[in-house]
Amino acid sequence: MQLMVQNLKKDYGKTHALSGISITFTPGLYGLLGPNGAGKSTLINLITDNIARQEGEILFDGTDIKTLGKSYRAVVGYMPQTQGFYNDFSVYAFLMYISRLKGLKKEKAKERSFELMEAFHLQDKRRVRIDGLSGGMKQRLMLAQALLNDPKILILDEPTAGVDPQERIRIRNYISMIAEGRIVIVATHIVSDVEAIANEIYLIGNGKVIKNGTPGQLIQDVSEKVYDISADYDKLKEIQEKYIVSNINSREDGVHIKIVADTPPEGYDYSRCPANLEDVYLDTFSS
Amino acid sequence: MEWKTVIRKRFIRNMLLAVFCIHWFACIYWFLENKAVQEKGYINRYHQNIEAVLQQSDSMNQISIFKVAHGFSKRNIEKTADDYKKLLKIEPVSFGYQGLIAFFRCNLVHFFGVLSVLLAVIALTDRNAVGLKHMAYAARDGRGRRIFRKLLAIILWCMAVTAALYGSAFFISGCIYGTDYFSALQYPVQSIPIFMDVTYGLSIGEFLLLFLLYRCMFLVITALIVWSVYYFIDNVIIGTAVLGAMALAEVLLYSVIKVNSLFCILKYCNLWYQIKDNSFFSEYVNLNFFSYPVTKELISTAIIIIVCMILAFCSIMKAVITYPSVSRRFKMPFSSLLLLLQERLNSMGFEAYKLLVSQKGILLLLALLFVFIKQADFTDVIESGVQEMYCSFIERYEGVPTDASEQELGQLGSFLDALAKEYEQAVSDYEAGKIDDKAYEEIQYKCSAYQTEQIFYREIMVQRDYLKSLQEKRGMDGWYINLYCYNRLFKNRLDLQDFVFAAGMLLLVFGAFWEEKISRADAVLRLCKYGRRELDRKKAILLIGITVIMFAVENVLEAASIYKLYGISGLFAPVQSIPRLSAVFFRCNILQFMVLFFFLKLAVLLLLLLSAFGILKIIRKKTGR
Repeated sequence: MQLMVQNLKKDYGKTHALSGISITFTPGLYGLLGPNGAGKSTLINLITDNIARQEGEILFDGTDIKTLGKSYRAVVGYMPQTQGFYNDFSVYAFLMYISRLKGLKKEKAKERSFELMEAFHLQDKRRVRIDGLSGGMKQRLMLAQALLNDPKILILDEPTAGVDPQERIRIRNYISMIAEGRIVIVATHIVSDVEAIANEIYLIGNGKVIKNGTPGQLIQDVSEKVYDISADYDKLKEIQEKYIVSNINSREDGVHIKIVADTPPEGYDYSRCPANLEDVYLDTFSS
Repeated sequence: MEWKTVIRKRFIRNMLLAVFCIHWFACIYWFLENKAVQEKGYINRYHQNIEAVLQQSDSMNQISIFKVAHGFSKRNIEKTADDYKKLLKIEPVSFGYQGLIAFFRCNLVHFFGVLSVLLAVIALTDRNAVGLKHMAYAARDGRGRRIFRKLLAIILWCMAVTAALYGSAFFISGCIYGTDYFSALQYPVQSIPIFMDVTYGLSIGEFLLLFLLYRCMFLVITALIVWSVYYFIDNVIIGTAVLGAMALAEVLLYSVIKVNSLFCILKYCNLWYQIKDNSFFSEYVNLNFFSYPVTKELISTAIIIIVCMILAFCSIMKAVITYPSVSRRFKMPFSSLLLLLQERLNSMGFEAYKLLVSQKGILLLLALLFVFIKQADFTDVIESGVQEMYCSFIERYEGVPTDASEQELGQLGSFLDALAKEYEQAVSDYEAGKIDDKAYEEIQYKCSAYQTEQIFYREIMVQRDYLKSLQEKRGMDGWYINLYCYNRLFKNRLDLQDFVFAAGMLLLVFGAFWEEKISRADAVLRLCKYGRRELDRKKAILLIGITVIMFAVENVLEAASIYKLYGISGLFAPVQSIPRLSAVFFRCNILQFMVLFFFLKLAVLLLLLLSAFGILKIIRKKTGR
């Protein structure tokens, strides 16, 4: 199973949202990282055929997704960034509605809806109106609807936006659990969401893939660039102006500032420290 | 700053543009379809008419029941006489006033005006903007001043809407009728027959300015009432229900209260009275204000100003004194039942639920049903003697003209001819002094007693001659049938009900797309296997089904009211028996034609709806949702 994006371009007026992106997805979990306006959502909208592409191809198992039409949509599950519900539908009614649209027969739709309500701890909210749910519950519901048709391709756009840490971990773990045998694409700018679970990460900026690799590879690339500077508070501003600051930690002995730099910081007391994906993100997008 | 909010909101801006465009087309259509005519001899009879009113006042003053010294009736009679005496000094001028008559008779403008200010009020309320309300409340000028600015914005928008809508209607009527408005502005307003009873010495220009000022004031008070309801209640559903109840109450008060009732203030200081037509400006009515007659203009103006001030003051005080409230979610009646119902729906059922329940389409359909029932008017009775005579004749002779019908018409014709000759003789004898006043009056009285028969005879003879020519020219045996019934059934032009129905259905089409847009569910829907064409197909089928049902209801109600009034018979008569349908080139009976007629009407309506559906689909595609 393969989803191939080849030389994809999309413009919004004079803005080049995507400038020739090419990615090949095979079963596994992929993270799309990038700042706001990088083109992640545009890429996702193109893969889900929600907007028309300017140039390029999107092929699923060698066939263009436009040609496949319904049969492509039958194997895709999508959780958009914006929560889109019919607020006066109950949780169960909404799942039934989406499952009917996904082509599930009534009995199967019922079975799947109950399964997913249980998996996402929504069974006691079955007859509650959607506008009466909390933000976290709505996110779970959005994820549940994406899984109704047991999709081969699961696309999640900011799946943990606006949820508390516990909920975020829960969702992350669930995504990791179901990624087996599927292509799961997670677009986010919350680095920690994908650091632990993604097989491969694509860093997207200005409509292009700037870097990609496994988390380990990407971290390895910046491992020599991460330093911990120990300084006084009055040096803080100066350091912030000179270097990319990853973290600031106030301790009894002063301020510890984690920076990402190509060369060791001169004139400061520093030591090397372990890198993480956030450092990779900063290194990629701040420069 | 607040007034710009209205045009900044794209939806409101587009809706306002749509309202204005529809208004212009509707006005052009209305002016072309409803030709105003010059009233012959009006200027010559003007002073006579005024004298007649004064004479009537004098004679009523002689009647004992009106002589009660401190009673409203006596005071009213005296005031009427005083007001009309002023009109004797006025010299009306003859000019081509049809354009002005058409302008004042065009009532569509009032409804478009109300719709426009409603849109402006919706834009200015902070509906669903919980965060914004709290942000504004915490700002320095975010309380009383902010509300004051909003109220000012409402007034400004009312002025702009008045100028745009009434100004354009005025311009269109001028273009269609070629009225020379500039020279007409200086003439006394009483030069126009419909304003004969305006008891102020105003020129047409002054009257128009006052007219626009009053119209603006009515829009302001309407807007402030709507604003206040939504502002104080802060829930769209409850607010709309309250406004609906108020509107219904206004209509009922106007319809039920009699002119001379103690509560006549509620009849005339009434928003429905202002919106339905312009009779506020042409009718002379004094209202009973604690036994004193006061002109309705004075009372209306005072009430408008007082109510506006109260509403504005209360709105500002609420903003200053109370905390911003979170909009209360209105629990629909039977909400648990609705949730249970949702679980039993199939895919078409879900679409129907979205459209009728989520989008409140059911309220729109109920409103349309109310309009249909009101228009059908089952309380209507045959009041005219001519119609009664006509219906009786048709009942007896429905069908191909027979010797019996010819004989009856012949007898009536002879009698009326003899009467006419007798009258002519009396006129010449009276002029020659052969008969006195009393004898002459007796002949006049005798002729006027048969006026109904004369009008009936003229009408039936026109129909008879038509049937005769149908036989001679086309070899068809036309029937005597009830033309009152069939002319009403086969309306040959669109009326307000048709516009309202089409607008209602278009709103439903719009609602079908709007639900997806505001729910933001379309990104998910479009990625479902059956979330595209099939979903649109279901929506289209649903809309067609609803339209067909409503169309059937409308026409069944209309047919039922006609049946109640006239009965429907002669269905197997050749359709060409109806003069209006003489151009139908194929042979069929009325029943067959009726089926075809309504089928075509429905087809046109469905074509309109499906075109709108298609256009909205294209817009959705182009704008990327």
